[in-house]
Amino acid sequence: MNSHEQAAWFVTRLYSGELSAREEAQVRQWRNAHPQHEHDWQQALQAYDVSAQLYYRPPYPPARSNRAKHDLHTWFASAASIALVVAIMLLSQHQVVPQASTPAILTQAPETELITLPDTLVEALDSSFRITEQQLPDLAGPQYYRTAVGEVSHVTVADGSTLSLNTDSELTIEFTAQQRLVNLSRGEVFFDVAKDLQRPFVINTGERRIEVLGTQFNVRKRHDEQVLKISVLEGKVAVHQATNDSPVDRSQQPLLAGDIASYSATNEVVQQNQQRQVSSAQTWRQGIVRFDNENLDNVVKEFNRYRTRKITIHDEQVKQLRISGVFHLANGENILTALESTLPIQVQRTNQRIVISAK
Amino acid sequence: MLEALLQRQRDKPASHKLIERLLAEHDIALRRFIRVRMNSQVDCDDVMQDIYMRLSQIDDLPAKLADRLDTARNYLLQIASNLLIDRARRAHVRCAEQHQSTEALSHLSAVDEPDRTLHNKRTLQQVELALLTIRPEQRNAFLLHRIDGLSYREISDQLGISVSTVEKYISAALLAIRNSLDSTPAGDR
Repeated sequence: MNSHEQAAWFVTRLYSGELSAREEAQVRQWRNAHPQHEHDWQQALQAYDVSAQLYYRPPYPPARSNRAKHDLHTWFASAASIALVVAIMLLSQHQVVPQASTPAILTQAPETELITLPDTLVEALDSSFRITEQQLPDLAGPQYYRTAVGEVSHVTVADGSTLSLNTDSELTIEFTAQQRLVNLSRGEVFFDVAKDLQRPFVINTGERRIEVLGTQFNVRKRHDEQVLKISVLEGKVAVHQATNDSPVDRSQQPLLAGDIASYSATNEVVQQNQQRQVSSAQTWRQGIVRFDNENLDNVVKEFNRYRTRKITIHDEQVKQLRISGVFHLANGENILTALESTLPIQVQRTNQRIVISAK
Repeated sequence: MLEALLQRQRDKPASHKLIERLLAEHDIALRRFIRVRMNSQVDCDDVMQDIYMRLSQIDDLPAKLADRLDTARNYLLQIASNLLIDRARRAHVRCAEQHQSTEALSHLSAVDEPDRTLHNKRTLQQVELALLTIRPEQRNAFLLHRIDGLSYREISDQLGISVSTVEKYISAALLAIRNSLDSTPAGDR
């Protein structure tokens, strides 16, 4: 590939909207490597930009459209070539243990770089929400990661995948030549999985084994419901019983985009075409929680995941009040102030807890 | 009072924060796009805010994007792209006033102007001619992307070819256009 072709290829990838973190680094490196590269990059961008002037379809001879070949094979081919994004939510049955804002992530490699975002994102009050970023070193053996209460951490892995760990989460990552394995013991994780046909990406949650077939999804296990919840953003995910070394049950339908599946010990429920809920299930990665006509009981439960000083509600009717809104977790106290000013409730604060009751 | 409020809230349909949802959903992709396209010269948050403003001015946004997750990202990228070109163009004007080098930005002033000048017509002709030099299927894929605004995956579905083949076609078209612009005398641009 000469420099012109390379530039055209990078611009093509840029406008795919699916540029990976690794490709972003490659583009930057390539452009910096030689002044000619930067020049060619600008020219390729120009070629893309001027084609915006093609406001009508010129009278070209029609291209052959090969619709007949649009079969399952093609579908798999295109599904296999997309970047994978996977989100997992798994709330353990263990009660959340309040902890001080200790260093977020522990790994086997203590020299791992840990970048903390500007202090503006850090809540000085009790919620102490923060977002951190780090690189996973390209080392053999499992890497251990953990986030404290009120912490979201974005991890970049050597294969180009990124993982976002939500508050109070714990996992290990182990890449071998055969597979990329994540053992999720607790919490919620969002995966942006780089394509690698040779090494399947597998997430083990204890009860279930989730195999990424070409997908974006979100998995959530409520400690109060004992339910594992998987929401698929895009593509395909297979979910199996995690009884060790048992053959994979191929009869099981894979989950597709827009699906939300709930698994308990006794039940499996799949809802389809839930795109809106699926995509709102991952806003925590930006430190945002969103509620659409949600009752206060659930809202407070969600907030408490990020808080060391928990909120309780004293009134059954108050629990049923509904609110909509977008809240920034970094503003822990503002959330309470907003609730207090919009709902007929009062908030009492003590050193240990916060109590909401009817006015 | 509590009862009345509960009743009112039950009646009210859930509000759809479509734009915020869109931006949250495509946040990583958009920010990466902005960083790569502008080489970290701009404030991502600033551009994201502009995108928000732009989206909020579009009336029939939900209809435009209904159930087309894949198109949504493509649409957002195009909006981001146009905003970045606008910014660069404004910067270009400022640079020109200060007699600074503007080589890299020289083409931007020609893009997207409502009144199509002779210059724009000639550029358009060049692009069309360039597209005649490539294979019909390459051209078709490129036009589906640039005129119809389809994502690579949608083009793959429509033409029954893999996404990576679509990318090869788009890349070939870009190369052809780029080469045709390259042959233009510099003073003409």
